[in-house]
Amino acid sequence: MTSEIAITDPPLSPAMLDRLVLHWRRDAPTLGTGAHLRRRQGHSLKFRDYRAWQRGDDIRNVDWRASLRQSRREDLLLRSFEAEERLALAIVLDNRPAMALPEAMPRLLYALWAARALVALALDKGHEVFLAKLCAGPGETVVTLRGAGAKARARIWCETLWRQRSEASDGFANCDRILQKLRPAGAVVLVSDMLFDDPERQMPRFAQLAQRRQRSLSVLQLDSVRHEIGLLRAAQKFHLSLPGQEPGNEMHLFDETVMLTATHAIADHLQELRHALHAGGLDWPQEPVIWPEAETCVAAVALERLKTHFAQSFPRLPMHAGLNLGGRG
Amino acid sequence: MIWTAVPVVLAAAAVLLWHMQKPRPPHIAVSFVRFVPALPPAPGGWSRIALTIPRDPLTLGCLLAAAALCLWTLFDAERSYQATRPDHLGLRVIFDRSHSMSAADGGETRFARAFARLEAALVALGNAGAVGQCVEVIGVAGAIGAAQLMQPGSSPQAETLAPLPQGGDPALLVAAAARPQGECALTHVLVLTDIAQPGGAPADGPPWGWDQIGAPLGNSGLRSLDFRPAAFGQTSSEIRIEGVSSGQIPPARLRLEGPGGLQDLNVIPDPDAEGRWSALATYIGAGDYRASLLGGDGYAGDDVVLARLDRPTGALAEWRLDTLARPAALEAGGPDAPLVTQNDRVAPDDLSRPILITYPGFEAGLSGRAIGPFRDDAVLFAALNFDALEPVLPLPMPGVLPPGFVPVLTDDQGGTIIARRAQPFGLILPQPRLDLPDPQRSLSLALFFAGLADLLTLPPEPQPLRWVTTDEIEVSDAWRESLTARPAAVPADLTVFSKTSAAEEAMPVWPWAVLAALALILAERMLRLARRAERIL
Repeated sequence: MTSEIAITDPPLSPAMLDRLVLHWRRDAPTLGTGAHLRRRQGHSLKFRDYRAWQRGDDIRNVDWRASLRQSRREDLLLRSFEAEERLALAIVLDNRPAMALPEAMPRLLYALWAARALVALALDKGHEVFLAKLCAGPGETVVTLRGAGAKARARIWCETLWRQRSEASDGFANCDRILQKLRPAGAVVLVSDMLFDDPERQMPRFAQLAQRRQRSLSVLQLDSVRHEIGLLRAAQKFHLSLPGQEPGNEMHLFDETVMLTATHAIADHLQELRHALHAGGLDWPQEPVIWPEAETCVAAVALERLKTHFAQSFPRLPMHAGLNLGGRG
Repeated sequence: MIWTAVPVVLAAAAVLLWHMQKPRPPHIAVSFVRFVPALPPAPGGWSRIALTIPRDPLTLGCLLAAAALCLWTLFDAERSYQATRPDHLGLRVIFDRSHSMSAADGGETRFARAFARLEAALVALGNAGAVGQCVEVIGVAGAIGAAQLMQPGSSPQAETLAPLPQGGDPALLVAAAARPQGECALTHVLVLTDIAQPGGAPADGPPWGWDQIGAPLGNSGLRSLDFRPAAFGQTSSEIRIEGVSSGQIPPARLRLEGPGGLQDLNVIPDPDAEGRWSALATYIGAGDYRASLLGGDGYAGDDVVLARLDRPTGALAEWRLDTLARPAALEAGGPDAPLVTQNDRVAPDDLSRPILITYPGFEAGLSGRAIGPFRDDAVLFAALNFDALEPVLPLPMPGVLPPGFVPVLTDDQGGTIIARRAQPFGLILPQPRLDLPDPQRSLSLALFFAGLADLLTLPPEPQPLRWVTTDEIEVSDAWRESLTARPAAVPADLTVFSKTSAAEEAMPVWPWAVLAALALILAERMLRLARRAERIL
């Protein structure tokens, strides 16, 4: 079953996945000894720094050649090594019905591909990964992935989320439970269009909690507003419908002014949200992942365009503050 | 036809309306709808049909062109049908009833085969769908029979067309086919015969179908029997029998049965004419003769001939010469026999029969005259030496030459020494003289006997023959049927009846129009499939 190609399999070649490496902030919380090198002194083979020998240090770590270059012979230099520690990564996916839009190039699919790629990268380094849904819906809200079979579970979880995308609600899931799971995590990645309606301000509270204890919150924003406006412009006359709801009979005419107003409203909303989420560890780049222009093309071609867009944009994601992707370590 | 066209027109209109439909406004769901203020409603609602450029002009063009081609096909097919369906079919069947049609040909007689072809032709004629039709059957053997007008739907009677014991003649078949039409207005002529077509069909008149029946059959047949009278110096008369052979058969074996018994004759091929041969038999005497070809062959009607001969066996002549007795080889003849006489015993009636007239020409002593103008006569001059003749040149014939005689040899004074008449045979010569010394004696005898031999050499006399079958049924002119090994020709095309009686119609175009319409429909389907694959998002 696992040999079959699933729709949520990220369209990245194995070579590309092999080239990608996760970079963590030096002060990210750890889960103890692991495969990831931290800028903390430890017992790995990677050189970290020189320091003066102190009583009690292992004499075997003295660098005698460097010590001879010291002005005083009694000043011995000790080589220190970086520590290998296991970190935790939490990936929160926005699974609102609106994420299934645009129909031909759904953002949820991009989000699932990104999540599966991040899971693979983290698991390959021996880290622990949490996959969580932002909004309530059928299936497991949070799944913990570690050890053997973690990738397969991640695949099943993502496939289930994709199949049940129309059954999700707009309301947030139980954030406390997510936070409990997130407690030992070093970094949180939120994949969303950030256009959700949050009258109870659950997202700012969640973000502040996620940024506690030197943890970081990276936002991978998926922006398809211009793409969808392009679809409306091409149709000129259309029945406008809400995501996941039956369309009404009222027919509308495209209006550039109205769309400009909507664009401004979205910008204001994002500005306000960015301000509300900021708590020291927020990594929300100014440039989101922008959807390509709408084109009239075959459905299969549109899906290929989305795959190409993912393959080109994902390795260059501007997630620099807490979590870096791309390049070899 | 108009009711057939109506559905096509309605279908074309429906196709046009279908393609004039405007696409329904799409239902579009956007993720940021909660940020979108109220959009202006579309004015005037939405109508299904619009007089605008069709949304898929290529497929519409294919379907409309296909519909137009179908309409055109309907009209063109109607025209073609009317053009190819004859209003009237008139068939004249020339049925060969000659005796060779009774020849067995692969287990079936040629007559049976021809009759089956006649029935097939009548069936094809009935299936042609003509409004009116008539069939005229003419049997031809030794003569052209009466035309039988057949009622539509009736079958021909085999007895009325059975072979007759008569030899056929291709010219009679052609003449019968070309006879002016009678009650039946002719559109086609069909000749059913075992004879090859002599030449092509006439340029004018209805088209002919020459249906040659039967496979080639090797055959030998008796063609003629001549009586060759005995000539001077020949002891008896002869019978010469001629025959023909055709095809791959063994050499003929001929037997002659006459008053003197049976004679098996040697057949001698004619080196100058392939397939012809002859045989010579001794004429025994007057009586009935029966010549028979032994062994079977393709046609039996020409294998036996009967002839009655009443001619004498030897040469005859009426002799009125005093200077020379009648030779022993000559029998004394009557008024019908050639006459050998002196010029002073010629009666006026004698000039109407073959005659040799002598006159006293040779004399003793030298003549003193020279040979004058003469015309070459191989028979007379073959045994004559002019150098020996000129010194003793005979006297010219006294008096005027009888009517019809022309000089052959004259002296230098214009006197006629030898004269000849062509028809009936006649010669005027100097008398033979036994009483003169040589060379007058020898010259006179040589000249006389050369003329006498020429007088008594009569041409062969063709004898009237009767051909009989083994059943003793007499077949007139059976020799005309002998060439049964003629090459077989291609059977006539009986499908011509389903075509127009006028000129050949060109192939109708409407099947191509149907094909083009189908191709257009296929193209429309392919375009629509392509559009479906390229569904606009």
